[in-house]
Amino acid sequence: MFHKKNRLIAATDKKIFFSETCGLNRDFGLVELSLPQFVSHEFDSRMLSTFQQTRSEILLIVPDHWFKHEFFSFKSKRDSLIKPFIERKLKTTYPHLPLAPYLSSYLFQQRDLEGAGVRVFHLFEPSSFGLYEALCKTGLPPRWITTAALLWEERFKRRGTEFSTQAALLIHLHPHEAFLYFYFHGNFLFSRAVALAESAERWDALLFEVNQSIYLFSQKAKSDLNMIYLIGDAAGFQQRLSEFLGRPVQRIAGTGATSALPRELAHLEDLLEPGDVPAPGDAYSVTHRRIQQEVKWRPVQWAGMLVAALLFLFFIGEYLWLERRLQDEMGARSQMRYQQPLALADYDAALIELTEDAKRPSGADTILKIVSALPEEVLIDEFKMDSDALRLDLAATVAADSVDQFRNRLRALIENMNRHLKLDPPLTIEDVVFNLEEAKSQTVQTHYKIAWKINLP
Amino acid sequence: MTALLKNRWLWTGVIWAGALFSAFWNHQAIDTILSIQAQNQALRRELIFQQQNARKLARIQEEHAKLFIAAESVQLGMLTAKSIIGELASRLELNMSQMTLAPPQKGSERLSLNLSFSGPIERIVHFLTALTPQRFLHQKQITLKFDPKKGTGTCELALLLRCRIHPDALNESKPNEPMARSAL
Repeated sequence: MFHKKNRLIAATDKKIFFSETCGLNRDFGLVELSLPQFVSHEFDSRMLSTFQQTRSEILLIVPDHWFKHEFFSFKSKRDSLIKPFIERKLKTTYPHLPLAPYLSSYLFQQRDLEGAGVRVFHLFEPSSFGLYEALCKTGLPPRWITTAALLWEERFKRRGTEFSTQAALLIHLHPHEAFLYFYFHGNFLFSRAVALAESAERWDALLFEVNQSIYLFSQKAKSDLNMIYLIGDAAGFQQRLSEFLGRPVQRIAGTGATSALPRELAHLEDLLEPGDVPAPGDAYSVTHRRIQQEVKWRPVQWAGMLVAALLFLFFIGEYLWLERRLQDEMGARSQMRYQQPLALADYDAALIELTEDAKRPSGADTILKIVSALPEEVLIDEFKMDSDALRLDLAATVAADSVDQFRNRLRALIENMNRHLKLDPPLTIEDVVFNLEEAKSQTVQTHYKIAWKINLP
Repeated sequence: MTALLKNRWLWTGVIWAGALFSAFWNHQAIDTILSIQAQNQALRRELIFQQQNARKLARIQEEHAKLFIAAESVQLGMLTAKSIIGELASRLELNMSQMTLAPPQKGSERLSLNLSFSGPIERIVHFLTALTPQRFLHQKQITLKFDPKKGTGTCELALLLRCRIHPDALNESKPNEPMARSAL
């Protein structure tokens, strides 16, 4: 449902073709560029604008001989050990190809002769690395890089287990060219392209080439061919081949949907599914380590984005709900404040003010209390009251015949003050100061000037 | 720039940052709502309390209003207070030597008023007694100097006039009576 169609880039030794579908058909927006021009970026970039705008993954099909297939003995099946081993091996074997370790793939295999090991295939042709870097620079890094031979291998392996256990020849026949692919126990060995001449002897020439190639195969694989598959047939070639080789030839029907391919890409005919570019398996293609990491982390990224987006949406919804609640609460507060013009705190403050006011002594009352507390021959000179500080400063004159009388009148004054004003702590004689120098002796009596301070309760 | 936009980690981070930010934002909103809810509950309780104690609160309001002279402006309040004091001093035949008012400060409801007067001691005490019920005139400081021979005294009185601006004060004013309004 959400499958995006992949884009296809096919490279030959001289050219590179860009197609948004697997059609590679000149009638359907196929862009064709010279490979050296593309690698050196000497082309009109507008030609690829449509291709670049499409957001889908890219399959790059390169010629078979751009890949090298090797087998290294290795006991462990663990990826964490195999990967560094291959990387190290390729780095030391091909120091002039620094990208080769990153553009390789492998398959663990148990072989009869070599034993346990890994079948490794990697980009080998120097121009392939230039092409890869140019594609990355153009913003078109390929997700998969493969060859026609690997795609055929994958397809035949999917058909059944027979292919994986035998030595097989696949002949892909075209009107002008024939492609021979040799596999041993399901592993690609080599391929050949045979041009067919426009003459009556073309089939004999092809049979000769097939025979030569089988000889080469037997030398390489040290085994006879078990199966021969023929894709596409013309003028009873299947029968002639069968008679010539003395063994049955199995004919496989092609898709027949890509007849309008450019001649340079004839080897891809019958290989691609109509309407889509199939994604090859990891065992039949290479992917740059960086892209592998990206692909590996992609589900985590999507899951992370999805969870975060869901949370974000949830929080947005929550925020809208909270905002409505906030408005409701604020509305309720405004309404209650409207119903309550005065807060209790205002009443509280008013009550405190009233209490303080009530506690404050009245000036007139205090004067009356002071006057009523004065004993005989004691006259007030000055009365000073600070009602905020609750302090009273008093000055008076005491008339006395003798010191004893003065003392007695002073005692009476203090006693009366304490009683009338209910002083706490009570006033004592020590609190009263009197200036002896200011004491004026009259005819009979002496007038003593006294002063004292009272802290009102 | 394009490579940056294609970076899924960046987008993942941005969306997570958005989600976390909105969570934080909502947390703040929840705090605000809880605070307003608490305020509303307190207000609701206050409202119930006020409804249940309406009479007592009205009395407090009424009593508190007596601490202020209600006037349309501070100057008018000052004028009323001066008039009351002057009238009282004149009735008691006191010799008012000085009456100064500190210029009112903007927005202030309290003004300082200093009086200096002299006369017989009984009348001075009577003046102070008559001033006591005028609660908007708070007697801050009283300095009374006696002259026992003549039976007179000199009084310096520092008063604090508490004034509250009330637009309708004059409409409801009664002669010789300061307006006590319910304005806490």
